[in-house]
Amino acid sequence: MKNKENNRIIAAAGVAGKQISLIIIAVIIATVFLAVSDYEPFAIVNGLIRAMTKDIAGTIRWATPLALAGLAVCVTYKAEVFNLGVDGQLYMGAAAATAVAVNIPASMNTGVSLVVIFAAAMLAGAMFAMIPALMKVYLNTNEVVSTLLLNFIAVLFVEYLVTGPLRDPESSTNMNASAILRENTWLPRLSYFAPSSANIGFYITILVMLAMTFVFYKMAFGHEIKIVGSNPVLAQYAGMKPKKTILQVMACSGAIGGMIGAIEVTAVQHRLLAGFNPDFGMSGIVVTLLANNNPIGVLFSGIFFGALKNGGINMERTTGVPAAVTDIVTAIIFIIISAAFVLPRFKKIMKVGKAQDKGGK
Amino acid sequence: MNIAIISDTLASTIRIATPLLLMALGGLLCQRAGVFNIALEGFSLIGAFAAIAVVQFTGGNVWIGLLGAAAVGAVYSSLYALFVTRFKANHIIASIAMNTLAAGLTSYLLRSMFEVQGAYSPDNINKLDMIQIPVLKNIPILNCLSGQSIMTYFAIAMVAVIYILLFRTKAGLNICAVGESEDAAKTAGVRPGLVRLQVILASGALCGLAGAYLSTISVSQFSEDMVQGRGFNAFTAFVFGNAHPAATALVSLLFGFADAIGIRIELIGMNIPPSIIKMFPYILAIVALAISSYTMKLKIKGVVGNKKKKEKLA
Repeated sequence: MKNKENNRIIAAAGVAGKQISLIIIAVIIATVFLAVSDYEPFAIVNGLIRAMTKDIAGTIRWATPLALAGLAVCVTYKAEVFNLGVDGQLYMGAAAATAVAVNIPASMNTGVSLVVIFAAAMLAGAMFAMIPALMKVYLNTNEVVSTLLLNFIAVLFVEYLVTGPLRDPESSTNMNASAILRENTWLPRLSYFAPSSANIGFYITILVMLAMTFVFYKMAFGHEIKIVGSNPVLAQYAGMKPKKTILQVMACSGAIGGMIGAIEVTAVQHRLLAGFNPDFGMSGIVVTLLANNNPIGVLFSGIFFGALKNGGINMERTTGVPAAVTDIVTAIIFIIISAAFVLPRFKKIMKVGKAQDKGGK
Repeated sequence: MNIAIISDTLASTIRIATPLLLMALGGLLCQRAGVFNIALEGFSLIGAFAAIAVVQFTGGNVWIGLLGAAAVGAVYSSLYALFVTRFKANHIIASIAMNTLAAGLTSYLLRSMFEVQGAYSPDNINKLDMIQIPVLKNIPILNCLSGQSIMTYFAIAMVAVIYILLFRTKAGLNICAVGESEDAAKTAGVRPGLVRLQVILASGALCGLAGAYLSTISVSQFSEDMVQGRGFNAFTAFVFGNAHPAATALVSLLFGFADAIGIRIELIGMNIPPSIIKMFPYILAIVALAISSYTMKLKIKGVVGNKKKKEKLA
């Protein structure tokens, strides 16, 4: 038994080492990029170091939505369903959160109003995720394309809301945004990290992560998700209902997406802005891939991408290097990981490890 | 509605459908060879940027811009091909990665090459003349076919070329064979990796041209994120068109029509918010996707049913 534990730790360390080397490769490539185009070459490295030490507050601010998006993608990916629509679900959640928040009376207690807002946002996200999920289950539609298309509809829907029904009537400028929400609907920020907008959402993220870990590794439902993902036919024979499971994981994913929207609105922006989301959902895919679809790992890779995002913003402010270079780092990690995903040698090592494990018994 | 408005709407339908069709034709080739290519979006974005960059540095020559965009699109797609064929990357993840990379790269290059943020228009662009077809331009409705840019006629020609390539040549047979059964193709001496590389390069070049159309012919500037999901719409177009060139062209026209009708409604001034009108093509795409996947499901079921019946008869 001890032996098994050790093997598991070694395997986890191996995965972590592989991912870290992958990050280093991506950073090196991007550094070369910077050097070629006559910028300060070590800007990314400096930015990352700064984001991890002095400016950890900003990192936490970005890590919250990124890690949550990672978790949202992770839960469906376990069932071999690609939810590329987290961005859309996030927008719908933000829209629902704002619509509820503007109607909450000023006398209402902050805690109660936040519960109502989050419930509405999660419901909206889950409902929006149901569209591609139902299409997949009943019409056999490929969820990859349908979720991508639905993202555009959600973006336009929010644009419609902030130029029409939810538009701030007092704003005279061309800004497309809702009115600023009342303070009793604000999600508290972490006072320790004060001027940044790091907020309680980070604790929510940790809670979601813990809940997901528990479900995946300790509950029958988590096991069911994995079996439906790896072998739907077997799942059917074993009396599981793959269709129902797919609907359930998509609903969970959409609810988490909606939650991100609610956090962004109630804690960061305090209003609904058209196009406020810098593609958290797409980043969520690479967050979970880098973490090898492990919820605990997602938290750490979320923090890494948060640091990258934050470092990029700081870098642009101080050295004038475009922050888009961090998107290039993300994309390089993304593309390398798409190949490394099925690295045959790694699989072989894992097999040897398993064989030894059996021998040990 | 008078005839002038109809032909005007049809003309803008064709204009909007052109880049969509070019992308869809590229995606169709990939689909036939069994490559799930939703990187059409990213390829086009790179093409749009390359066209503007080349135009800027060659003193406003759009012709060289178009060629440059096709070349750069092909080079960029070769990275995707490398990962998909050589490193056996997951097609979906690699595609999304290519889209992310395209967005990051163009935004970065916009800053580092032209020192602007958001959008850039070259100062010296010589726009291409629209081509007037002598007799056609005087026939009422049909005059929508005249006065289009050269790329529209190129796209129409490509429909024919790809039809012949796929269904009348050995190369086309190889492409379809690789898509249907990789092992069978291998046994017949076809190299699946090579075939896939070729179709991905072709799709990269076609998407590059589509992007160049958006940035140098539709408008005269490159702006970040200017493809705006057209790549995904194109993907739906060939899925709905069952990966057949002619059917795909018709579906592209349908999507273009949805867009053109939206613009028309906005012009008439009916009281529909513009954001809602802009949703039309995406909603249509989702409906198309649902219909095609459902008919595919029925087809698969039908085949299975027939087999069982045959077994019973035997």
